[in-house]
Amino acid sequence: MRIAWRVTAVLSGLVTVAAAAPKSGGADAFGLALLGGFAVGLPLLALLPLALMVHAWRPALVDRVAQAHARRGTASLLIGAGLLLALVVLSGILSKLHAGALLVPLTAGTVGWLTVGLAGCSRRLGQRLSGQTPAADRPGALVIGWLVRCGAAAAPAVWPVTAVYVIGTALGAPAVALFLKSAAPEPGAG
Amino acid sequence: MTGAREPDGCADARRALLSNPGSVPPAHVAVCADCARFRKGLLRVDAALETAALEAGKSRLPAELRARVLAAAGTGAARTGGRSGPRGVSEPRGRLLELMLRAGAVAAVLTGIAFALPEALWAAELDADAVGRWTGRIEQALRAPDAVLLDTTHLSPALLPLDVPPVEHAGAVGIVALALLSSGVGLVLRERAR
Repeated sequence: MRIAWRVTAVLSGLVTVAAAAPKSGGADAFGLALLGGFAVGLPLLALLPLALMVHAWRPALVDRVAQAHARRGTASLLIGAGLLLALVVLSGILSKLHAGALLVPLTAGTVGWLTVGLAGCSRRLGQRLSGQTPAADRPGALVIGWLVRCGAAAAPAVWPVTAVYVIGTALGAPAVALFLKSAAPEPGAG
Repeated sequence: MTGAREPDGCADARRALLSNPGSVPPAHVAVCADCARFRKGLLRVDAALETAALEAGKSRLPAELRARVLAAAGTGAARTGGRSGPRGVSEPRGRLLELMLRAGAVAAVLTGIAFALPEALWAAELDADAVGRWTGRIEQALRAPDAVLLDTTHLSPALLPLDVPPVEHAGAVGIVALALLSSGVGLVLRERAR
């Protein structure tokens, strides 16, 4: 998990530095608005292999999250937004307390939770895009959905909104899956 | 066959024909004219049923029946809050409410992050120097002699832009977070109760 945290941290840092590199003394605000989304989209993309491993080992878990997201998308976003804000507050408090070490387990847990959630959301989106039924259990759908969601999170200019939406739903979907009773796949739903 | 006594084997052969009409006929049918006629009659009925099924598949529902089916589907969707109708189609008002809830949640997160960010960084739209200082801090941390070891306690303060959020802002953001969480959980519990 430390490795995952380090890789994510370094990727985020490198991408942010690259986005702000044109002016070494100060960043270009226009460049930040245009390319800042890559600081979100690329780390999310780096989590794709982890998501595929989760899909290979625990397909039922991914399926359950996908069902939760399809049935209660708004609740997923509301809970995810709440969790995101709670993380922001918690990170601020930890930073204020100079307890950087505590950020490691917090980030590791968040990354794992986010991976499971984003895998569920991406799988359903990929199934829709490739015309598969929810019963089809092919990792290709997960990859397609994941790429689309990462691209949406990195979209120029609108990335703050899309990134919050993508990450918020991904954080909330596993929580909704914990609450909802398991149900049979919706006929013809995609 | 009415009134006459059936020869031995006819009853068994006809029972076999009725239970498995498409199967190979019993040997008795080949030597009994009555049973052969009985089998031909069964085959004619099967052919007529098959033709009728094909025609039914091609024809449209009568308009009245179609309207009744659609009305029943609409009532079902409305009764279940527009989420679990036969086609999963929501009512327009429900969809608008969900859209507003989603937009509100995204706006709340963006506002919360803006509150938690240091003011200089928050105002980077007008003065980008704060972002430059932040990225410079990250660059410095990455170029540090021990950067090879990637000490997380060394890197995390540099990566984190949340220097010192004012306590009152953190409290407000926390309250908004709680409100979002509770409303989301409330929605899920309502669905679960159905």
